[in-house]
Amino acid sequence: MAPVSLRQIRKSYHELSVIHGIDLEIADGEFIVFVGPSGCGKSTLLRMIAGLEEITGGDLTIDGVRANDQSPVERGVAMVFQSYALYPHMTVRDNMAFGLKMAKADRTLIAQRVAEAARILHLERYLDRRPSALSGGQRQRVAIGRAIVRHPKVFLFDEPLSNLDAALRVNTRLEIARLHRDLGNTMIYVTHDQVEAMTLADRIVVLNGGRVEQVGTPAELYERPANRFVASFIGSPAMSFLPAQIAALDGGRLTLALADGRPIPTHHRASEATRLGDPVTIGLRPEHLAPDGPGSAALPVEIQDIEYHGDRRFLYASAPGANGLTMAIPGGRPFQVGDRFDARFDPTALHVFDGAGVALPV
Amino acid sequence: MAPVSSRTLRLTSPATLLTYAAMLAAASIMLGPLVVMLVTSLKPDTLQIVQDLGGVAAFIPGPVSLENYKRVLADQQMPFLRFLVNTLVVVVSIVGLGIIVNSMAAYCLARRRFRGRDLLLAVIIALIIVPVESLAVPLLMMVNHLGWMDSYHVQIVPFIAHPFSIFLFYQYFAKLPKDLDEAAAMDGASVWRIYWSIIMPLSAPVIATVAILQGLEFWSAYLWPLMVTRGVEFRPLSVGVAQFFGQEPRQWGEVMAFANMASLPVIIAYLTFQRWFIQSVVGSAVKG
Repeated sequence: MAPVSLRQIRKSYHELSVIHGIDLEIADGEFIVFVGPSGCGKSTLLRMIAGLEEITGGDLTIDGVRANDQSPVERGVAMVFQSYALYPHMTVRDNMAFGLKMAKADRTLIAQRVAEAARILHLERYLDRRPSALSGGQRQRVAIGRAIVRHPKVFLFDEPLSNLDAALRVNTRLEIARLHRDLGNTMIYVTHDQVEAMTLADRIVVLNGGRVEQVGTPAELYERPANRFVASFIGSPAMSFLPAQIAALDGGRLTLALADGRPIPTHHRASEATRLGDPVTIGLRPEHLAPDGPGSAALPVEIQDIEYHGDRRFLYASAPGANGLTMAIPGGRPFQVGDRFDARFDPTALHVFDGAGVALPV
Repeated sequence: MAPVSSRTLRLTSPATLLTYAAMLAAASIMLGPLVVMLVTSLKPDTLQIVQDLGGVAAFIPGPVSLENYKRVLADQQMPFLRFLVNTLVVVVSIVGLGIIVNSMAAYCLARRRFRGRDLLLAVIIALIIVPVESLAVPLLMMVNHLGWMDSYHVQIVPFIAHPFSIFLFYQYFAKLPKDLDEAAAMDGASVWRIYWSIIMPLSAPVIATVAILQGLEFWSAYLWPLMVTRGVEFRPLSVGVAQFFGQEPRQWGEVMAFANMASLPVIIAYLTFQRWFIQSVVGSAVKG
């Protein structure tokens, strides 16, 4: 177990800068998830922590020791790869023992550690098999076992569930959560799947273009996104956005005007740069917009598409000046494509972003 | 039933028949000399052999005798077994050391990033088209200056580094997932350990390909061994066959027996590794 500290961490390939000075403090035993779209730098950042990529600038500290120039083994980190990266010519036992053999560990200790990892991951029956004789889920467990046997200070996971089918992904996700509870190690996990991020993380780091957009608990990110990017990235289906203008500043509280001029009083406050008439964007989660909800505000919509998800349905609708509004509704009242009605929402549930996409304070 | 009838039609179509006829003719041209070689080596009567060699009788076996083989093996002037041992020492050394050296070079080119890497790779690929014959004279001057003439190492050392083998290894390594190297590095393996314990055990197909192609090339190498060996002590079979053939009066039965025994190891190797050999030729697709 160990805390990890990143101070102004940068990465450049010749002239091309890909990580632009990241500051992050990861507590001892914390489960941190790096999430972001493809190319945002989340895997590069993980590989820099692992020691597989050189750090161009800044300081990486693991367990209080500057680790920039240390090898992966000296850093005390172990990594689980997306492709599993099991050695195909070795048995499960040899795959798990390889790291300890490299460390010239005693044979008895190796056997003991491998047996312990096999027990934790239910791999006892497969120890003498080659990876090719295992299913995807079993291979992933071996990859995790290979990390466990080394008793690392920090576990690193690089999109470990991406190659698994949907059912297995849920099971393995639960196993990883259980593992974190049991071992209590610091874990850093990279994914582009926000469900994994929301369900596993103590805190999520949202990355975009090599910069941190927001760090927070899953609830903080979902309920109080710092900007429009985080708001659109976290949550499935994504938040809906409506263009609006600042119509009034009543005692510091904003009243917005929708595209059709309809006023929406909010409990958001103006920032220093906010001016009357400034364009803003309203954000609404699918569960906060409903055909016959309790909200005091109304929005005329027309249904464009309907998706059935068993326990609920998603209605995709258009409104004046906006397309792709999403409503999550329980089963029951039937809807048809083309239906028009006033969708209702509670103004206290909406999010407001200024012209630069930054969330306005409540 | 439709697929069966269409298959039958295809097999008996004029184009198919013509293809099979052409293949049969090509096979006959290739196999003909081998049949003559085998049949002649088993005929004990030298006069009969000379008469038969002019016509179809060369293909027809007569009374079978191993007399020619016995005489070849008993010949002290042209020691077949000495030539065979020399060839084995040279070929096994070139192939064995070549696999290590060429794969290490290829691994560096495929995995390490260093200044001039692309240029070095381009130069190595360009070297594939340079024939040994064009380098023979300057190389001869070098080895002569080093005092290496008439030895095993003069036939081995210049050919351990082999651009085509490096290229084959490079292509294979480039396709192996880098995650394996990185996983091993995370496990604390050094670059050498990754190469030796992870990469090489996964490279059996390319090792077989390189071994077969390099082995065949140097089994039949002629010009260089002829230039650098003076007596029978270090001469390989390829030069020995020519030397044996050049003896007067020419004993065709013994010449054929010598040639047969010289070809036998290659034929056995081919039959044993036929599947890999075909894969290697298809896989390399550059050099036959």
